[in-house]
Amino acid sequence: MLKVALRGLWGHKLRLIITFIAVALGVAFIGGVLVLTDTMNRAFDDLFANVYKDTDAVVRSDQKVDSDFGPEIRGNIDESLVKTVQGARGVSEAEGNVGGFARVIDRNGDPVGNPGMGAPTLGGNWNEVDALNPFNISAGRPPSSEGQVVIDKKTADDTGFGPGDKIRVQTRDGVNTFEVSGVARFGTQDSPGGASYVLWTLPSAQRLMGEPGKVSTVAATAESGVSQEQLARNIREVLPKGSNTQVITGKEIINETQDTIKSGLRFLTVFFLIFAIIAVVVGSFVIYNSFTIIVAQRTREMALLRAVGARRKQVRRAVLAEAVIVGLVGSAVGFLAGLGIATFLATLLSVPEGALAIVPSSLITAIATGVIVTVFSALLPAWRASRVPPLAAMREVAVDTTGRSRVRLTIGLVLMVLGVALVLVGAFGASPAQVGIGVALAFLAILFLAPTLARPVGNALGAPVARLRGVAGQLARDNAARNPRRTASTAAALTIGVGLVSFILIINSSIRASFDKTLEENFGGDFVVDSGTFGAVGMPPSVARKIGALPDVKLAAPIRFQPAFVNGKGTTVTGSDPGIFDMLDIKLIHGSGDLGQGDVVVSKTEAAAKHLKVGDTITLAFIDDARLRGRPGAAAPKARVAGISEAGPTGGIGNYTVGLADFDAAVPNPTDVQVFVQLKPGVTVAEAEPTIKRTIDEAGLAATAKVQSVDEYKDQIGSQLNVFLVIIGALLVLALIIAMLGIVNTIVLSVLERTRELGLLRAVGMRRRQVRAAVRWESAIISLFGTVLGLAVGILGGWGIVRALRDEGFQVFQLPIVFLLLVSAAGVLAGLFAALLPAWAAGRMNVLDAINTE
Amino acid sequence: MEAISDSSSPSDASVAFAPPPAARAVDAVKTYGSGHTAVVALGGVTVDIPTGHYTAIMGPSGSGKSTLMHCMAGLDSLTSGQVFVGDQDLGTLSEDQLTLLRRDRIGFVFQAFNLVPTLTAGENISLPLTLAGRKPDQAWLDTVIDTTGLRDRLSHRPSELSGGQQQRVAVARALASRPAIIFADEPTGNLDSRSGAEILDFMGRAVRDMGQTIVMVTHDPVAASYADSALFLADGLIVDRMADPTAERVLDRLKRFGE
Repeated sequence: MLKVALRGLWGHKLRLIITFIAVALGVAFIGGVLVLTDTMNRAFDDLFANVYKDTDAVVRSDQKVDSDFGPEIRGNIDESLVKTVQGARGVSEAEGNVGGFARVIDRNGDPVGNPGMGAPTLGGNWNEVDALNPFNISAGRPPSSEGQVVIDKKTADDTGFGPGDKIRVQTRDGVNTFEVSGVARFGTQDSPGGASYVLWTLPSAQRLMGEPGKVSTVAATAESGVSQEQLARNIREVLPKGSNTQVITGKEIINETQDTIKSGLRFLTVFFLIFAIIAVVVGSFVIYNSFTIIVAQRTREMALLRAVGARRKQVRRAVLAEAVIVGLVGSAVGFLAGLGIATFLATLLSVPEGALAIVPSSLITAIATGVIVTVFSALLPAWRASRVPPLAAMREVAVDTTGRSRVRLTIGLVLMVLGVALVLVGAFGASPAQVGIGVALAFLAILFLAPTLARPVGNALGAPVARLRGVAGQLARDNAARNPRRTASTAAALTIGVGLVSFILIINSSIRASFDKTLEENFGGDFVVDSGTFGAVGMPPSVARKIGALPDVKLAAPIRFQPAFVNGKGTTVTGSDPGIFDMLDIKLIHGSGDLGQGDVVVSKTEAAAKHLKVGDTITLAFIDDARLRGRPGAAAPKARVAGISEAGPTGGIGNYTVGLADFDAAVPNPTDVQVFVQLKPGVTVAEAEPTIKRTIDEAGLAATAKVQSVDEYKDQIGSQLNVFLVIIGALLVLALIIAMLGIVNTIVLSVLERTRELGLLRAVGMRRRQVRAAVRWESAIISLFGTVLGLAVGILGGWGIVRALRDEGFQVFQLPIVFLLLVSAAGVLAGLFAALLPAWAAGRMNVLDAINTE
Repeated sequence: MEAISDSSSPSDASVAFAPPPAARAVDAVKTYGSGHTAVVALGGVTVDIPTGHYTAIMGPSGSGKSTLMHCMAGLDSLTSGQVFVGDQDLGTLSEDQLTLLRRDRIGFVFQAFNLVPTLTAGENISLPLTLAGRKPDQAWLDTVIDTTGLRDRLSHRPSELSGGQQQRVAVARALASRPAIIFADEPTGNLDSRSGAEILDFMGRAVRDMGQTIVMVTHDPVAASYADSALFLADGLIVDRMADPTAERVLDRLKRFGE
């Protein structure tokens, strides 16, 4: 029977080619993502193993705050500890390290690199101890004075800066000019993972990124014969009590850094995996459909096999054997293609160079996914094949026109009612999870109902085509509704893609509309000055002070952040002017927002989570809190919960807000991420803009900071959301391509099946052009059907989520009509395009041969 | 309706030496649909198919001849009554047992679409054996193949064979597993008269030279003339029987249906 299966496969190889491509495409994505992940992990593992190759122990602060985005943040330690460590037994050499945000400004005055989207832009001190320095000079020499820097080779190549050039670098201290003393490579790479690096002498680095007299870590190398563990123990012994330090070995710092990078990369992996999974899910519909049609077309063959004694099991296994083989071959080819995808993405993401990592488990996962999905998709068709009665060998094969199965209809309706009910409950009950489950149910319901809907909806959608395109249009409409189950499952692939895309589009446009609305209605300010550093470091506080002192300006309220411990738990605390609440329309539910000394305003959600109410006392210590300096073991400063605030329309300014005086007393080098500016009554935006811009220019921040009116601010947020649109575009293209494969498949097989009929039509006088048009429009109607169903599910889900999140900032539900129309047009065009080749083939059919076909 | 049979008649002198019938139907009734729209395809047919005999089943369209054959071959089930292949009551068999019965004890020749298009002629011939996972009896297979005269075409696909050749491969396939009985459904229906004659002759030799039992449904008097006897069905009942039919006598008999 395997032979029969193999022969069947070979005999229908052309019909299976689409199935094959669908499998390969899905596996290519899955395999590509897995290989990319393995490659990235290995590359970064190697990178950091190399960086810390000769580091045997690291001393660092034991105070850390886990950040929501990015690695943990630790406090600084005294630079004097370098000497202490050097004095420990077994230490060969030791050196302090300082690091932070630093961004090079290129010759055009534009900042290099985009830490919001890509690799970070970093700065630090040039290590004097070779064994502790991962960089090596490739041109020029190390920095020897305050004004000199070494830059990484990638940045040097990208900007054209070299030894002797003047270079402007943005740091916490604003934008300053330095002289490039040298260019360095990072081990064997031009830069560490695409990040840009600026390296100063230690005192400069302390001034620009840390604090004079402080370092973030002290690294040490061991004398030969001293183990890392022994060295760490020796260093621990000599460190003074109350120095708030911890010592870890070189091996530990390697593992920790590797883990940090890996968890940072995980979101990327998950993101790509979602694409891959969508490709596989959409592909599974194509595979299912393809097998269904092939089985239908081979009904007589199956019946003959059954008549001459093939058992049901044997027929079922023959079909499944075909699926296994198609799955295996498709997956193998797909995996190879995946290597290409991985290479492409690795280049795009500037993963450190090196061969692709092909881990057996990833290979097996990718191939197994392909085979399992294929076999799973073929299960139902195989079962159907085994149910073909032997008598079918003796009669003409009837086209399956059943769309209405009472059972299917009932299940579909029940699922639909449940799904819609859940969406409604979730939407009004503020539960996005319920909405999600409801949408999933509704989608399942659509799959069940689609065959029943295919005829009436197809007829309705096809009506204009039938009217406009005459006989060809009428045939197209009738054919599209002829085999409702096939139409439905072909359209399903498109339904998923369009559903997802329209869902995301609706969320996106609703976020934008909500944001615009709140800014228009509630934003009491006129300008936003953004530091352009993605929150890493901001502008010097002098900027806000100078703007605030301008005659046109009523208030310039800065926002500054710092990691801190509230009741001992790590978090981020905001410092601002009390006027900020009014300007951003952040309502105080309880208490006051005066932000007097010792006051803290807590957000509603945080207060609820931590059971805080007005009048409660909490401890609030910033990391490296200046108020605790020189008082080891002192109790953390206290603060009083003075007010509880709404999140506010713009999402709030943080969970804990204190006054600027309190903030600055505790944080030695505060910087402002944003400054919100409100003009005096009667002063127009146009009048005030030049003076505010001049202030920024004078601070030397023209290259990085942005002065934006409310409209410009809105556009900027909008353009950030546009990143979403690009992703959606990619998703749409991917889903459309796979769905198109499915449509091509169905149309090709349908045309084959109707060879005689088409021959007859041609014989009685239908022109080639008309035949082609009929096939094309049939495809377009099927696509439109899938698109319409997808839109329905997408809109239902989008509305549900937006409604459910109304209290979280989604006040407006907005249908992006233009985009949704474009998506629909793309769906129909995909259908027309998919049918080009089959339509051409149908038109070319030899009339006599067609009529005589068995 | 009185049962008409060749071998159960006590007046037949050969009965004492005749083997038991290859297949038989007892009061076979088959109706389609229910209520007032019900169509009676078989109205209670009792018949024996003698072993080693070439039986033609004749009758106009809608007479129930195909239904009778399908039910006797285990392709379709009766509404009431019994059918036996050998002494096996088909009504007591499960779907899977029926399949095995077809595979091991019954051969089929259909009017059209007799061969799996992706298998070669040779592979089609041994298909029932392959399905059973049995090793073919090579000597018997050679005999069958030689009788078809298609030894040089065994590696050809059905699409590369003429209609007559395809039908000979189909008969060879039916013979390959040495079934107890072969059912042929209008085997010459799709063939020109010369190819048709070849097939009929070939089936005749299978009965005479190889001792096979064949039941052939046909509406062609010429085809029926190759058989040892002919049964006539009308409106789901056996109405007549003819030994050693000739084309003229069959035609005469068929004409009387029109009256």
